[in-house]
Amino acid sequence: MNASHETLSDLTGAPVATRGPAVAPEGLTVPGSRPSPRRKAGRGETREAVLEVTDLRVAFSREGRTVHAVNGLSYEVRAGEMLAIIGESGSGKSVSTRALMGLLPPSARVTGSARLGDTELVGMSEKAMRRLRGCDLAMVFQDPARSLNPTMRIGAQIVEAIRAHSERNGLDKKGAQARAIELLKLVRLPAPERRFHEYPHQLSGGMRQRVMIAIALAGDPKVLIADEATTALDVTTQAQIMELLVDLQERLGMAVIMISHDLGLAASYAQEVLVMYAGKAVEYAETEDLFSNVRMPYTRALLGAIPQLTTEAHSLLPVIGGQPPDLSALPQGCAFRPRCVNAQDDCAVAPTLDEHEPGHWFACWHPAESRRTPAAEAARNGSTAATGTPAATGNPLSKGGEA
Amino acid sequence: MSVVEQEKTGAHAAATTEPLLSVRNLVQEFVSRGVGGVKTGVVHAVSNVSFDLMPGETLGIVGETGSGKSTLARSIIQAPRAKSGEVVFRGQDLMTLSHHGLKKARHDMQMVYQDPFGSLNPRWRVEDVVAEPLLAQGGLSRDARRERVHELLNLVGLDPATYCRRRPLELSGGQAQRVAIARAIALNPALIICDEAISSLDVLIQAQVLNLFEKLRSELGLSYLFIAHDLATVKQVSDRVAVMHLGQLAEVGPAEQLYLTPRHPYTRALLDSIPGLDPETGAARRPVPLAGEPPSPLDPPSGCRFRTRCPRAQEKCAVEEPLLTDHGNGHHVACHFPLEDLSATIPGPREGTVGLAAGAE
Amino acid sequence: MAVIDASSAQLESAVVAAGAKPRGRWRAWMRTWIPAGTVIFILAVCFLGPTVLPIPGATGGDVLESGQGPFSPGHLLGTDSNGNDVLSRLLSGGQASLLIGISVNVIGIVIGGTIGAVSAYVGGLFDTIVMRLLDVLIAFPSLVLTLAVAQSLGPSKRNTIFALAFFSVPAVARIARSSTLRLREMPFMQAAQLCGSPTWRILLRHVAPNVAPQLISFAALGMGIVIVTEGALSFLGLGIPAPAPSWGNMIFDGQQSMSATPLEVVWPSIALLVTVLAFNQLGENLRARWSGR
Repeated sequence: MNASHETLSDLTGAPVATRGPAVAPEGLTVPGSRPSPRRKAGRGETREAVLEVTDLRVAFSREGRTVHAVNGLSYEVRAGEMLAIIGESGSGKSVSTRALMGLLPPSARVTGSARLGDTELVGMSEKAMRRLRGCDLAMVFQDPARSLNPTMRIGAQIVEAIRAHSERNGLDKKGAQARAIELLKLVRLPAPERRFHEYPHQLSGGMRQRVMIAIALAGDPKVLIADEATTALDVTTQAQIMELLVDLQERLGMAVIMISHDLGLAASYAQEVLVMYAGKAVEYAETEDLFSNVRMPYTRALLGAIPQLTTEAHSLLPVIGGQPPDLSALPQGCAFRPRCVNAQDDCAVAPTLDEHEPGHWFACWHPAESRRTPAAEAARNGSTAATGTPAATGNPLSKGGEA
Repeated sequence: MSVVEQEKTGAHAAATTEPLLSVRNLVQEFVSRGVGGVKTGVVHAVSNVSFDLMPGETLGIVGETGSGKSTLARSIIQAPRAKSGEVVFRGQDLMTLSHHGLKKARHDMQMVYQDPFGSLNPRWRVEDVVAEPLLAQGGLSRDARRERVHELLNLVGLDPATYCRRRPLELSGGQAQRVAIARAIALNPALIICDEAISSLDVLIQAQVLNLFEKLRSELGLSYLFIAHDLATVKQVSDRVAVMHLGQLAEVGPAEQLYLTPRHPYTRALLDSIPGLDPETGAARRPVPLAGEPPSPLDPPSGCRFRTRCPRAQEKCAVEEPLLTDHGNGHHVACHFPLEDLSATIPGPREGTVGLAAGAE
Repeated sequence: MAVIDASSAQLESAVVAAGAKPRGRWRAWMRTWIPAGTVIFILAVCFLGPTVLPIPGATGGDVLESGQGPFSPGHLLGTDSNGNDVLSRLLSGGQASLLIGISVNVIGIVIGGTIGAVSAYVGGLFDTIVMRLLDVLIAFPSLVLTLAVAQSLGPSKRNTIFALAFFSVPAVARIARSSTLRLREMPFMQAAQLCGSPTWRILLRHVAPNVAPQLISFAALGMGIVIVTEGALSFLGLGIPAPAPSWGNMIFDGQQSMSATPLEVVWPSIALLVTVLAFNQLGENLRARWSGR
């Protein structure tokens, strides 16, 4: 499908978009940003880690039961890179980022560590968090219609975000207005001076999301969290917004955490992918590594369940039965065990996230076969198999059942 | 030969088979009102849409927000009635039927909605939900009804003993949608309209429900009108696909052909916008975004409605509205400057392996 | 389009519930059963008390026994200026007031609810006409309207109920209408029509169960208003005719001799206060419980 890389733009002679993952030029400094300390990156590369999360756990109590939303999550995000956190509903992906931002209700118990540069986010007071939010750490939500105040003009909302950090940027009202228009230009909103005075309902979904991004950028954040930011958008609008995010990432050297359930999105845009299930990371690798060599049975199931443009119509998709686990009654051992094809007795002991292959972490005692063995490599060079899907590997994932 | 006649004698349908559903020149408009009820404009939700659906066929309708695909579905079931046009279902024009006649006709046509919980009354039990159409039709004793309900629940993969007495809030999204499907097939309809029926479900559950649709299709001989915004999902279940843009049909054709060799620039743009991996190289395939904002249905562009975003637009596109023309094999395109046949440069689906093509939610 | 799933709903509700005060089960139980228990107690005592308890009648007291204070022999709460046993009058008065309150609310729910729901469901010209008529009723100063009705009919329990219903029906109809309008847009309503269900069944089995909870909790909250308004009517001589007691007329009568015998006002006022509080809290609990579904 489209293997010749021809696109509509090609056909009309318009410039072809760049392919391949975006790489932030090293040493890029942006006025107003603070340098982060160098941290040891786990891949043998020397990039600064702006955010380091270690063993994050979040629990709520509800009617006497404890809901374990996040159970020991660890990852790193580097400047200028995009980490995609993929999971279905109930995986804890959104809860974990809200824990970082301090947006959970006070009765949520957050333990573990999340270091943004030198600052420890877990256990921070609300007052300190407010100074940080929007400043070093910003978030864009899913539904722009609900995240924007319908009774306030767009410009006023951006100015509000800028003025909230006035002690940092020292801007007065006029300066803030000018900066707001600058930001609207940065996010490529057409006719920014006019839109400044408009209300949210006068803008389309894509434009509103751009405004949300502008608000998020108001404080020059080091890390931007996009929580299902494009889920509610059309696919053409999504492409526009993602391109904008990538461009901003390159220009501003920002780190982006993209939360989604869409593996395709992760494959196209992210440098690293982390797959979550039942509050834990179950697979974590660089994008190319992960998709060319999927090990975790859950990730395989996810990939297999996605309809693809090249499969035959009316064919049955490989499905797994069962449901996501009840987070207040997590089973002993591996949470995916009841639904896993490869499950065996020793799965009663919870697997840990280990680096089983260089640069590829997963938590499984019986993962799918690796493609990186010499024999597999040889076989691979003979065919054009590139991605780890059941159709290609003959992995029997069919275990029909009820939803 | 007109489009309609060509369809009827097309290669994919026996010449003697009548279409199950025949839509002609369907128009639906909504008046948009401002403060105080003053009319501020007209939303051209569906503009002059015509197509046929053969028995046993699945027609996928793809479009983005504002394309009018959901409005099209509702106009077909006459809720509310369209402004003008013809909807001939099993030989009867639904637009001309009385309230009573419509009720009868609707037994054969059912709908599955996007929100599985919204389509079930939260206070009813599952068995009551599934029995409702049986009760409305009448003619069955209570025991016969109960038996049929059990049969239907088994068909959709829900164990009657476990699920009969449950209420919707005790179900997961996938289970609730299965109940909705059980209700939809209760009266043995000929046609089921799926209006974004799986968009609200989790990825793994979507796959299960898609498989259920396929299973029911082969077991019960159902025809589907499958409406969605995700191109890959639509292709999975459809024989033919129609692409809608701002209330009009941009392109209709056999699924394989349409996806492999799209003729309309909009279809091409949609396909190009899907993120995923390149099946050949395994490298990330960056979608090329379509420039510009989608026009408003309140004020659609003159002539071709896609021209404001189309890189191939010429003067003619602003002046003359393109009509659906046949490009062979049942592939119709509404464009003055359709894309040329590119099949020579793109490998067929069996070569190379699959890539990721999950669309946006 | 957010993904809907039981686990995400579970998580969301956990977050919401966690945001609310994290109290134990004991408090929740108390919050439900204290008002409910109070209401049940009051109803039992007022309706069964006069027949079951060994107390003298509410009327026909001997003037010679008037003015006795609380804990007098044979009169737990003493007697009023006419020699009637206060406790007995309190209980019988409660019976009257509660009966009126409940009746008015029931009429309101049944008639007002039906009018509002049917009107909203059917829509069109019918809806417009009905709503304009109700608007007229609502626009009238309610007390004036009630007085006019009561005056033309004369004072009696039944006529009081009828007059007060003029209050209640339009208000409930409005609520039922807006609730039904919202409901009409829900997919399951359209699915029901698509199934071929007749209109009456849709109204009865789809609309009513979803609209009723809101109306019932509104009614519970409205009890207090109705009882007090009945008192006002009685004060003006248009409610329950003397010597039959009701809390309302006891309060208004007692006002006249408040400096001399304050207790005559105090007892029914306390009774009214406790009852209204209990009903209000019950209504609030019901509303909270049902709006969560």
